[in-house]
Amino acid sequence: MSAVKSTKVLIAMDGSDPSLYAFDWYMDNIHKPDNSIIIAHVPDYKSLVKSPIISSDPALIAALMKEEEAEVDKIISKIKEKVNVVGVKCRMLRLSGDPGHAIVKASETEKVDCIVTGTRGLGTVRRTLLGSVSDYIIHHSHVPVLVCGHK
Amino acid sequence: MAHPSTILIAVDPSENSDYCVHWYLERLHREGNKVIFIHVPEYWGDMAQRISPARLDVLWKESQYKAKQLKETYTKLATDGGLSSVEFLIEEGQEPWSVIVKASKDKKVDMIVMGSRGMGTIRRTSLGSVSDSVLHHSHIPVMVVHKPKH
Repeated sequence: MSAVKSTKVLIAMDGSDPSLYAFDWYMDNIHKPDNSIIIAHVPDYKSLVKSPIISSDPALIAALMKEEEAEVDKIISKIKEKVNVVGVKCRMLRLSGDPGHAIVKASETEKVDCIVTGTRGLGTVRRTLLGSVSDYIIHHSHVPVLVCGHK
Repeated sequence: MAHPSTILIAVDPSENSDYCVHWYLERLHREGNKVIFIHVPEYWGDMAQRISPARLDVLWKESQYKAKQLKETYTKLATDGGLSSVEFLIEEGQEPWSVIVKASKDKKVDMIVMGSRGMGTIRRTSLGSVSDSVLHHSHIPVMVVHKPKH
Protein backbone atom coordinates (compact mmCIF):
# COMPACT_ATOMS: atom_id res chain seq x y z
CA MET A 1 0.00 0.00 0.00
CA SER A 2 1.37 3.41 -0.89
CA ALA A 3 1.98 5.61 2.11
CA VAL A 4 0.56 9.13 1.89
CA LYS A 5 3.31 11.72 1.47
CA SER A 6 3.45 15.47 1.97
CA THR A 7 3.86 17.25 -1.32
CA LYS A 8 5.92 20.22 -2.46
CA VAL A 9 3.96 22.23 -5.00
CA LEU A 10 5.11 25.03 -7.27
CA ILE A 11 2.35 27.31 -8.49
CA ALA A 12 3.20 29.46 -11.49
CA MET A 13 1.50 32.83 -11.13
CA ASP A 14 1.73 35.84 -13.40
CA GLY A 15 -1.08 37.77 -11.74
CA SER A 16 -3.53 37.02 -14.53
CA ASP A 17 -7.07 35.80 -13.83
CA PRO A 18 -6.33 32.26 -15.07
CA SER A 19 -3.38 32.02 -12.67
CA LEU A 20 -5.45 33.29 -9.73
CA TYR A 21 -8.12 30.76 -10.69
CA ALA A 22 -5.47 27.99 -10.76
CA PHE A 23 -4.34 28.97 -7.25
CA ASP A 24 -7.91 28.93 -5.92
CA TRP A 25 -8.69 25.65 -7.63
CA TYR A 26 -5.54 24.03 -6.23
CA MET A 27 -6.50 25.18 -2.70
CA ASP A 28 -10.09 23.89 -3.06
CA ASN A 29 -9.35 20.54 -4.64
CA ILE A 30 -5.76 19.44 -4.11
CA HIS A 31 -4.21 21.17 -1.12
CA LYS A 32 -3.51 19.14 1.97
CA PRO A 33 -2.36 20.68 5.28
CA ASP A 34 1.07 18.99 4.96
CA ASN A 35 1.74 20.37 1.48
CA SER A 36 4.25 23.17 1.08
CA ILE A 37 3.67 25.82 -1.57
CA ILE A 38 6.14 27.83 -3.62
CA ILE A 39 4.75 30.57 -5.82
CA ALA A 40 6.90 31.25 -8.85
CA HIS A 41 6.56 34.58 -10.54
CA VAL A 42 8.44 35.45 -13.70
CA PRO A 43 7.94 39.05 -14.82
CA ASP A 44 7.36 38.92 -18.51
CA TYR A 45 8.55 42.32 -19.61
CA LYS A 46 7.41 41.76 -23.17
CA SER A 47 3.77 41.80 -22.14
CA LEU A 48 4.02 44.61 -19.61
CA VAL A 49 5.35 47.56 -21.51
CA LYS A 50 4.23 47.42 -25.10
CA SER A 51 6.38 50.18 -26.53
CA PRO A 52 9.60 49.09 -28.22
CA ILE A 53 12.64 50.93 -26.95
CA ILE A 54 14.18 52.58 -29.96
CA SER A 55 15.78 55.40 -28.09
CA SER A 56 19.22 55.49 -26.61
CA ASP A 57 18.23 58.31 -24.33
CA PRO A 58 19.18 57.09 -20.81
CA ALA A 59 16.45 59.17 -19.19
CA LEU A 60 13.75 57.61 -21.36
CA ILE A 61 15.06 54.10 -20.81
CA ALA A 62 15.25 54.69 -17.07
CA ALA A 63 11.66 55.95 -17.09
CA LEU A 64 10.44 52.93 -19.02
CA MET A 65 12.25 50.52 -16.67
CA LYS A 66 10.70 52.30 -13.70
CA GLU A 67 7.28 51.90 -15.30
CA GLU A 68 7.93 48.18 -15.82
CA GLU A 69 9.03 47.73 -12.22
CA ALA A 70 5.88 49.50 -11.03
CA GLU A 71 3.79 47.07 -13.08
CA VAL A 72 5.69 44.09 -11.66
CA ASP A 73 5.18 45.37 -8.10
CA LYS A 74 1.46 45.74 -8.78
CA ILE A 75 1.26 42.14 -9.91
CA ILE A 76 3.26 40.83 -6.96
CA SER A 77 0.97 42.73 -4.58
CA LYS A 78 -2.04 41.21 -6.30
CA ILE A 79 -0.59 37.72 -5.82
CA LYS A 80 0.32 38.38 -2.18
CA GLU A 81 -3.18 39.70 -1.54
CA LYS A 82 -4.71 36.52 -2.96
CA VAL A 83 -2.44 34.36 -0.76
CA ASN A 84 -3.25 36.41 2.36
CA VAL A 85 -7.00 36.22 1.74
CA VAL A 86 -6.78 32.44 1.40
CA GLY A 87 -4.56 32.36 4.49
CA VAL A 88 -2.02 29.74 3.53
CA LYS A 89 1.72 29.95 4.06
CA CYS A 90 3.67 30.22 0.81
CA ARG A 91 7.18 30.98 -0.29
CA MET A 92 7.43 33.41 -3.16
CA LEU A 93 10.12 33.09 -5.81
CA ARG A 94 10.73 35.88 -8.22
CA LEU A 95 12.55 34.50 -11.24
CA SER A 96 13.95 36.02 -14.39
CA GLY A 97 14.31 35.01 -17.98
CA ASP A 98 11.97 33.12 -20.25
CA PRO A 99 8.93 32.26 -18.06
CA GLY A 100 8.48 28.60 -19.13
CA HIS A 101 12.16 27.82 -18.91
CA ALA A 102 12.57 29.58 -15.55
CA ILE A 103 9.60 27.79 -14.00
CA VAL A 104 10.74 24.33 -15.10
CA LYS A 105 14.30 25.04 -13.93
CA ALA A 106 13.01 26.27 -10.55
CA SER A 107 10.87 23.14 -10.20
CA GLU A 108 14.04 21.06 -10.59
CA THR A 109 16.22 23.21 -8.31
CA GLU A 110 13.57 23.28 -5.60
CA LYS A 111 12.87 19.54 -6.13
CA VAL A 112 9.11 20.08 -6.21
CA ASP A 113 6.70 17.19 -6.63
CA CYS A 114 4.18 18.98 -8.79
CA ILE A 115 3.68 22.16 -10.84
CA VAL A 116 0.36 24.01 -11.03
CA THR A 117 -0.38 26.34 -13.92
CA GLY A 118 -3.33 28.01 -15.62
CA THR A 119 -4.00 27.48 -19.30
CA ARG A 120 -3.28 31.08 -20.27
CA GLY A 121 -1.72 34.14 -18.74
CA LEU A 122 -1.24 37.80 -19.49
CA GLY A 123 -0.12 37.28 -23.06
CA THR A 124 -2.18 38.94 -25.75
CA VAL A 125 -2.12 36.25 -28.44
CA ARG A 126 -5.28 34.14 -28.12
CA ARG A 127 -5.02 31.92 -31.18
CA THR A 128 -4.20 28.74 -29.31
CA LEU A 129 -6.10 26.86 -26.61
CA LEU A 130 -3.04 26.65 -24.43
CA GLY A 131 -0.75 29.59 -23.76
CA SER A 132 2.92 29.28 -24.69
CA VAL A 133 4.21 29.17 -21.11
CA SER A 134 1.74 26.47 -20.00
CA ASP A 135 2.53 24.55 -23.16
CA TYR A 136 6.27 24.74 -22.47
CA ILE A 137 5.81 23.59 -18.87
CA ILE A 138 3.67 20.60 -19.88
CA HIS A 139 6.23 19.43 -22.40
CA HIS A 140 9.41 20.04 -20.42
CA SER A 141 8.49 19.30 -16.83
CA HIS A 142 9.87 16.11 -15.31
CA VAL A 143 7.24 16.17 -12.59
CA PRO A 144 3.45 16.03 -12.84
CA VAL A 145 1.75 19.21 -14.03
CA LEU A 146 -1.74 20.35 -13.12
CA VAL A 147 -3.22 22.42 -15.93
CA CYS A 148 -6.18 24.37 -14.60
CA GLY A 149 -8.57 25.02 -17.45
CA HIS A 150 -11.29 27.54 -16.82
CA LYS A 151 -14.73 26.74 -18.20
CA MET B 1 -12.88 25.70 1.57
CA ALA B 2 -11.70 22.13 0.94
CA HIS B 3 -14.37 19.78 -0.28
CA PRO B 4 -14.41 16.24 -1.71
CA SER B 5 -13.97 16.00 -5.46
CA THR B 6 -14.75 13.53 -8.20
CA ILE B 7 -11.61 12.42 -10.01
CA LEU B 8 -11.44 10.65 -13.36
CA ILE B 9 -8.25 8.63 -13.80
CA ALA B 10 -7.58 7.39 -17.34
CA VAL B 11 -5.62 4.13 -17.40
CA ASP B 12 -4.21 1.61 -19.84
CA PRO B 13 -1.93 -1.43 -19.32
CA SER B 14 1.25 0.71 -19.37
CA GLU B 15 3.74 1.30 -16.55
CA ASN B 16 2.92 4.99 -16.84
CA SER B 17 -0.63 4.32 -15.71
CA ASP B 18 0.63 2.28 -12.81
CA TYR B 19 2.90 5.12 -11.72
CA CYS B 20 0.06 7.60 -12.25
CA VAL B 21 -2.40 5.75 -10.02
CA HIS B 22 0.14 5.29 -7.23
CA TRP B 23 1.05 8.97 -7.50
CA TYR B 24 -2.62 9.94 -7.18
CA LEU B 25 -3.06 7.78 -4.08
CA GLU B 26 0.14 9.09 -2.44
CA ARG B 27 -0.08 12.77 -3.29
CA LEU B 28 -3.49 13.89 -4.49
CA HIS B 29 -6.10 11.80 -2.79
CA ARG B 30 -8.13 13.49 -0.11
CA GLU B 31 -10.62 11.70 2.08
CA GLY B 32 -14.07 11.75 0.59
CA ASN B 33 -12.81 11.96 -3.00
CA LYS B 34 -14.75 9.85 -5.44
CA VAL B 35 -12.51 8.04 -7.92
CA ILE B 36 -13.67 6.87 -11.34
CA PHE B 37 -11.18 4.93 -13.45
CA ILE B 38 -11.66 4.84 -17.19
CA HIS B 39 -10.10 2.49 -19.67
CA VAL B 40 -10.62 2.68 -23.41
CA PRO B 41 -9.63 -0.67 -24.93
CA GLU B 42 -7.72 -0.67 -28.21
CA TYR B 43 -9.96 -0.13 -31.18
CA TRP B 44 -9.59 -2.74 -33.87
CA GLY B 45 -12.36 -1.55 -36.18
CA ASP B 46 -10.14 -0.08 -38.90
CA MET B 47 -8.06 -3.24 -39.04
CA ALA B 48 -11.12 -5.25 -40.11
CA GLN B 49 -10.31 -4.95 -43.79
CA ARG B 50 -6.67 -5.90 -43.48
CA ILE B 51 -6.65 -8.91 -41.21
CA SER B 52 -8.63 -12.12 -40.96
CA PRO B 53 -11.76 -12.31 -38.80
CA ALA B 54 -10.07 -15.01 -36.74
CA ARG B 55 -7.08 -12.77 -35.95
CA LEU B 56 -9.41 -9.87 -35.23
CA ASP B 57 -11.30 -12.01 -32.76
CA VAL B 58 -8.05 -12.92 -30.98
CA LEU B 59 -7.00 -9.26 -30.72
CA TRP B 60 -10.43 -8.25 -29.46
CA LYS B 61 -10.43 -10.98 -26.83
CA GLU B 62 -6.95 -9.89 -25.70
CA SER B 63 -8.14 -6.29 -25.27
CA GLN B 64 -11.17 -7.39 -23.28
CA TYR B 65 -9.01 -9.61 -21.07
CA LYS B 66 -6.52 -6.79 -20.43
CA ALA B 67 -9.42 -4.47 -19.62
CA LYS B 68 -10.81 -6.91 -17.08
CA GLN B 69 -7.35 -7.30 -15.51
CA LEU B 70 -6.94 -3.54 -15.22
CA LYS B 71 -10.34 -3.25 -13.60
CA GLU B 72 -9.48 -5.87 -10.98
CA THR B 73 -5.99 -4.50 -10.29
CA TYR B 74 -6.91 -0.84 -9.91
CA THR B 75 -10.17 -1.38 -8.06
CA LYS B 76 -8.28 -3.48 -5.53
CA LEU B 77 -5.43 -0.97 -5.29
CA ALA B 78 -7.86 1.85 -4.64
CA THR B 79 -9.98 0.06 -2.07
CA ASP B 80 -6.84 -1.24 -0.32
CA GLY B 81 -5.71 2.38 -0.20
CA GLY B 82 -8.80 3.20 1.85
CA LEU B 83 -11.03 4.65 -0.85
CA SER B 84 -14.71 4.15 -0.27
CA SER B 85 -16.01 5.33 -3.64
CA VAL B 86 -14.38 3.60 -6.61
CA GLU B 87 -15.81 3.01 -10.05
CA PHE B 88 -14.13 1.44 -13.10
CA LEU B 89 -15.47 2.22 -16.55
CA ILE B 90 -14.57 0.29 -19.67
CA GLU B 91 -15.73 2.41 -22.60
CA GLU B 92 -15.28 1.44 -26.21
CA GLY B 93 -14.40 4.13 -28.68
CA GLN B 94 -12.32 4.92 -31.72
CA GLU B 95 -10.66 7.95 -30.19
CA PRO B 96 -9.69 7.52 -26.53
CA TRP B 97 -9.37 11.26 -25.89
CA SER B 98 -12.95 11.84 -26.99
CA VAL B 99 -14.26 8.98 -24.83
CA ILE B 100 -12.36 10.33 -21.82
CA VAL B 101 -13.56 13.90 -22.26
CA LYS B 102 -17.17 12.76 -22.77
CA ALA B 103 -17.00 10.62 -19.62
CA SER B 104 -15.61 13.59 -17.67
CA LYS B 105 -18.71 15.58 -18.64
CA ASP B 106 -21.23 12.75 -18.19
CA LYS B 107 -19.88 11.92 -14.73
CA LYS B 108 -19.49 15.59 -13.81
CA VAL B 109 -15.90 15.09 -12.63
CA ASP B 110 -13.78 17.86 -11.17
CA MET B 111 -10.39 16.75 -12.53
CA ILE B 112 -8.87 14.31 -15.01
CA VAL B 113 -5.66 12.52 -14.01
CA MET B 114 -3.59 10.69 -16.57
CA GLY B 115 -0.05 9.69 -17.44
CA SER B 116 1.91 11.74 -19.97
CA ARG B 117 2.22 8.66 -22.14
CA GLY B 118 0.55 5.31 -22.49
CA MET B 119 1.09 2.17 -24.48
CA GLY B 120 2.06 3.91 -27.72
CA THR B 121 5.38 2.83 -29.16
CA ILE B 122 6.47 6.16 -30.67
CA ARG B 123 8.61 7.95 -28.07
CA ARG B 124 9.65 11.02 -30.05
CA THR B 125 7.38 13.40 -28.19
CA SER B 126 7.29 14.34 -24.52
CA LEU B 127 3.53 13.96 -24.44
CA GLY B 128 1.51 11.07 -25.85
CA SER B 129 -1.24 11.83 -28.34
CA VAL B 130 -4.12 10.88 -26.03
CA SER B 131 -2.85 13.05 -23.16
CA ASP B 132 -2.19 15.88 -25.59
CA SER B 133 -5.72 15.73 -27.03
CA VAL B 134 -7.40 15.46 -23.62
CA LEU B 135 -5.44 18.53 -22.46
CA HIS B 136 -6.62 20.55 -25.41
CA HIS B 137 -10.25 19.49 -25.25
CA SER B 138 -10.91 19.33 -21.52
CA HIS B 139 -12.96 22.06 -19.90
CA ILE B 140 -11.80 21.01 -16.48
CA PRO B 141 -8.33 20.79 -14.89
CA VAL B 142 -6.05 17.98 -16.06
CA MET B 143 -3.16 16.53 -14.07
CA VAL B 144 -0.52 15.17 -16.45
CA VAL B 145 1.64 12.71 -14.55
CA HIS B 146 5.16 12.47 -15.97
CA LYS B 147 6.93 9.32 -14.92
CA PRO B 148 10.54 9.97 -13.82
CA LYS B 149 13.14 8.35 -16.05
CA HIS B 150 15.13 6.80 -13.23
